[in-house]
Amino acid sequence: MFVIKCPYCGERDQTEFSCHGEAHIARPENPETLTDEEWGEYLFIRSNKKGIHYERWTHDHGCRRWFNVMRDTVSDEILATYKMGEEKPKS
Amino acid sequence: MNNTNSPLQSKDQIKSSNINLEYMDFIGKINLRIRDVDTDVLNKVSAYLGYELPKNSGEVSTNDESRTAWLGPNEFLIQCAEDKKDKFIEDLNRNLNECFYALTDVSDYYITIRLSGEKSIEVLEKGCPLNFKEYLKNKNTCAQSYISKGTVLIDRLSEDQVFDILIRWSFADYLWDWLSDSCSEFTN
Amino acid sequence: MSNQNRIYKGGRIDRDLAINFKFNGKEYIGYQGDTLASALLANDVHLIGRSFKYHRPRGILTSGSEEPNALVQLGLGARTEPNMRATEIEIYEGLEASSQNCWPSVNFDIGSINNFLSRVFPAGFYYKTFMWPPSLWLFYEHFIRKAAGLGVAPTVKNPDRYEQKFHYCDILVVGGGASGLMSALAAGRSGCDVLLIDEKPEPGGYLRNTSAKIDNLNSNDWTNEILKELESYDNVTILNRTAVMGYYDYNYLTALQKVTNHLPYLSDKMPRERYWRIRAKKVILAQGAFERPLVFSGNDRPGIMLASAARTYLNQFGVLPGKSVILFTNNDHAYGTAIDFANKGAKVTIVDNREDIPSELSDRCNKVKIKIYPSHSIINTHGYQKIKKVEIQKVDQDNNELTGSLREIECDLVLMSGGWNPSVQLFSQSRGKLEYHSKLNSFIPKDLIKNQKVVGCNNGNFNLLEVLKNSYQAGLDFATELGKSANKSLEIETAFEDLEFTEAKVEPYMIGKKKVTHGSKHFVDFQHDVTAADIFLAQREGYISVEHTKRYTTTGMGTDQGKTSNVNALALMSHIHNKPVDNIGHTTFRPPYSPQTIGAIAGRNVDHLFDPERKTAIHQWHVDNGAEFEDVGQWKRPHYFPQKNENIHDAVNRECRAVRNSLGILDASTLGKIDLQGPDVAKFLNLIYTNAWSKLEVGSCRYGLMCNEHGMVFDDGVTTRISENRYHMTTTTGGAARVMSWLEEFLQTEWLDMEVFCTSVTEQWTVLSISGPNSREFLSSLADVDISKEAFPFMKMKEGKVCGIDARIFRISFTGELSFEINVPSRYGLFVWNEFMKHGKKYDITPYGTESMHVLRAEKGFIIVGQDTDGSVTPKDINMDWIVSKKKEDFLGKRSFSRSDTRRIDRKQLVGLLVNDKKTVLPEGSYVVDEAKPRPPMDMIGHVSSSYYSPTCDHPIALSLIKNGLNRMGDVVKIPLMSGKVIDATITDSIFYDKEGARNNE
Repeated sequence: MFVIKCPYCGERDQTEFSCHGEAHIARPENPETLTDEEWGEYLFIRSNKKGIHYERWTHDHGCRRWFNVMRDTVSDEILATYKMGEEKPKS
Repeated sequence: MNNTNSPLQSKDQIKSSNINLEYMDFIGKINLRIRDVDTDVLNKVSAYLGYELPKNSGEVSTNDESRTAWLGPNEFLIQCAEDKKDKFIEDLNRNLNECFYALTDVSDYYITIRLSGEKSIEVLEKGCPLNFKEYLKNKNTCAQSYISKGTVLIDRLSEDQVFDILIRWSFADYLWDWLSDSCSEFTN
Repeated sequence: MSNQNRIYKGGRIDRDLAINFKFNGKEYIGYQGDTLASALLANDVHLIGRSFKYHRPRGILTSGSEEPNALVQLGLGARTEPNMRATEIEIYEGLEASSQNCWPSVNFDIGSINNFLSRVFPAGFYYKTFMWPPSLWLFYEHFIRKAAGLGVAPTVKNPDRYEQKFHYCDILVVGGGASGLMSALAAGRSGCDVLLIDEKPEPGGYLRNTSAKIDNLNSNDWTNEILKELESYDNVTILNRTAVMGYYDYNYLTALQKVTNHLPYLSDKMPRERYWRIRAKKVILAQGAFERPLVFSGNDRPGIMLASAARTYLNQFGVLPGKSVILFTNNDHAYGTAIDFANKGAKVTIVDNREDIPSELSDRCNKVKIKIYPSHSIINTHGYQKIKKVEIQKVDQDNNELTGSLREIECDLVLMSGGWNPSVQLFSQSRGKLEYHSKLNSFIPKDLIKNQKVVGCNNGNFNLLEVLKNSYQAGLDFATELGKSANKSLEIETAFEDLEFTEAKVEPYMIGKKKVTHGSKHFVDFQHDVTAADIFLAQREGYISVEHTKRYTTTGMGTDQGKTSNVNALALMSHIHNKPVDNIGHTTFRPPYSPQTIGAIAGRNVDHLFDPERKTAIHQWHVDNGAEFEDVGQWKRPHYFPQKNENIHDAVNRECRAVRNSLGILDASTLGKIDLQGPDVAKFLNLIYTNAWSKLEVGSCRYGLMCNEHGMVFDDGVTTRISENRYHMTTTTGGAARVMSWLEEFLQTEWLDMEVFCTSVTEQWTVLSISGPNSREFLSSLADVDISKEAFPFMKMKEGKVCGIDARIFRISFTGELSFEINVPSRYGLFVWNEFMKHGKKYDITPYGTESMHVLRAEKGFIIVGQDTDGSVTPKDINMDWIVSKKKEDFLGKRSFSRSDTRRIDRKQLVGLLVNDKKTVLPEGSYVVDEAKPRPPMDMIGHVSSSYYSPTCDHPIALSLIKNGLNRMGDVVKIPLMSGKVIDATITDSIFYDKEGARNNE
């Protein structure tokens, strides 16, 4: 079980958080202009990385903020956590 | 005529040499939301309350009139006397007119359970994943987490082990029973 | 004679404190400090139980948690516990234990017939025998289950208390032996926050039972000095009687502490066990090693034990378990035990596999008159309930064959030592990789994970002085990494263990392949009765992967998880395949390290604390007035309020009629409520809901449907504009948290500039929903605002006082009747409810529960999200296209409405169903088909989502999702029931009552 450093609250037990899947998938500006394929890409396609993965988490039993986590899916090591809107760290 | 009821009014309070569990009367609780970058609003609120709003996780600012806990980078909980609550809201609304903020009365949303005595942390550690060696070490600190299966705000009031635990009304009965059961090891 | 095997002095027991206990009904005396095993051995009891499969008599093999044989049923009644290791049970006054897996008694066990039938019970016996015909498996299983298993589980609820505890520390040291003590000492001296965990009642490990000398102290006294220093540090916590069970990511470890279960029962306030959840910045594993048994024919008889265990009984408990002793070994270290036994007056013979015995050893043995047979092996043993005699023979070292004449030696105790296996279980659980050490012939840790060290024997080092120094250094290194340093260095000059362990061949089975024959009894896994022959068989039958061999033979699958057997099994496979052990690999180690109680994992999350029961402010009234409750998520909601002899149907019919005819009242406080504030709320709602919100006036309410991005309905509710920039949103009871998170997700991750704040206010407000034609007249007498039809139309909100309390009154309806939802701060909820009940008498005000609410809304065709929708239906599917804005450019889910799948015409659509017999209430979830067949499969065209008897219509009604249903009005479909009966029903409109909606506009 992880220790996650909430960008606001510091290191906390994983059980205070929940994970919401891959990060940095922006909602398209004008969905109506997208083809079915493009919209399907946004809805369904995820990278499912072996290695460095960026994902969204919330500190549910804490500050209730959403933030991003950079995690190695092989070792489960969390390499960085950062606030929404911040640049993603380089791997 | 008393026309108010608390979910814990029929519970047996615990008083012993090393652990105490009490339920607290209703007091004013106001949830405040402001943009974390909005110094104008921050200053106005601080000026009215008479102290700087807490800047970081775990901080509590306080004076004789109110007590404000950090809930998030743009969220605070102001606690004050019950009879001051409406005036606080009214005054703050007036002072913050035209600003982007939100004040929400949550006085009945949260129930306050007070845990005190030298075994308090041992009771909390039974169900709370917080590292008490890092968090809630001193008076006027707070932390949000969970205790067993209830989400809580824990507010440390004293250098002695005195903690106010704020829990949603609907979970209060459950958390009280859980805490009360947790204390039994120490009340022989 | 009592304690006939006890020696006069020495050991860690208190001979002044006698303790009475019972084993198999017979009374015995032991001493404070004894384990059940040591006390039984002191009383010359060697036969402890019967083995799992062959019911062979078994005794005590070890002196610790790795024990495979001496498992007993401990305690009586509700507190009885099966499969407890006698080697770990500390005796206490009044303890009662008994043998397991035997009937009628351990001395005469009917099941031991299996031993003589062992030729027909090889590995895989059950798989081969009972698989055919498949239909008979249930019959076989009954008998197999009865014969399987060891102890007996209690049949009544365990009354004990189990606590849990989260714990954080700088350095966790697992194991309190020589190495663990040193690491803890260094870390403790450095001021680190240290947790030292040890399985035993006191730390010390092997130092408690060896003849080692450290500087000028014997190891026992030296250990006490170290402990005294450790105990003096406030920053060091020592947990005895605690076993680390699991080692997970990020140095998260779980441990089970025996708090009172080594004591007589004290009180129900004291926990029996405490389950620790530990998060350590650094972990030092110092768990030591397990001695390996040797595999030879008849190596399982009572009176055959590990050399180190015997030494423990001798030196730690003052028990001489035999006077005529044979040590069978392949390494130097075990000679220490032989010499200790000889010094205490036993007649000792050593049978050593090796040809060359170091002269130092033979000289020392000569001094105490120990006879040594080099190049010899035990090849068979005799004695049914206790060892009596062994057969030994010379081994030709060149071809590994037996040679020379057979010799018999009488004895009452056989000690064996096949070398040592580092205890790598926890290390391996933590994802650490193992490597095979060719000299030790065992696995040792290879690649450490982050913030972890393995020290001492655990790391394959068996030189005492090195172990002490290296372990101390490990503690110092971690302290340095944590920014701390010790003010003292290690002062140890010399540390001698009498004989150190450096290497051992693994002698997996006894010399000469031909000796292992079908049905022969060279035990590899004692607990599961797996023999060398079984391992051979598994290889012959193709189960050559180590994981397959394990499962086919069940080796290593007992409660001991193969602590004594795994390496021998691997070595045997290595021999059979003529491949190095490295290439055989090893099986996966998984938590828990030792058997652990489920109670400790559950902790106090049992009974009414199993899961939170959320309660509204009116809850006690519901209880006092006889409500039957329904669980809605974690909420307790009144399901219905039966009066006198009413059943659920009577009560619901009465409640529904009251609402339709006069006045009903519902506690609707569980609805999710969210306070939305900011200049952009309308813009935000436009994106969240499918309909338009820009023009909603202050004081007006609007119903809204939320869809996810797939276009599927996921919540609904009424949102009201309270003031210019403030809205009050309601959600479904079950959807409250989900909706809150949904709103925050978009505000925090997508539309960061949008000026909206949302705050949950679910419990701030208690909601009393009054419904029925008399509701206005009733409320007008209690509210201080004008609620006349003209002043307060449908879908409006007013603030005012109700019963003197500040309230928000919403004129909205979920029953189709004239209704008002009165929201008051929760502290006043019960007061207002009581006032309503008092003043409502005139109208026969009737409290109703969720069942009536469901019936009333179904009569009106109102959906319940999650019941009539299931995450796969669009607004159009539920015939609610009217609420989907055609003008808005964008909202969540909109784009998905034009996907090819959501445009299909044969999608399931929400329709009404009326049974043609006018009386059958269809079970919810029933399949709907066009053509009923005698048995499934049938082509399903939909299912019944809601179904009730409608007291208003006086016939059953149902809502159903049916393919292309909206275009099939009037069609008759079939509903096959579980009973085989088929019901005909007609597809209708989904509104059954007051189609025009006249009643709530009254």
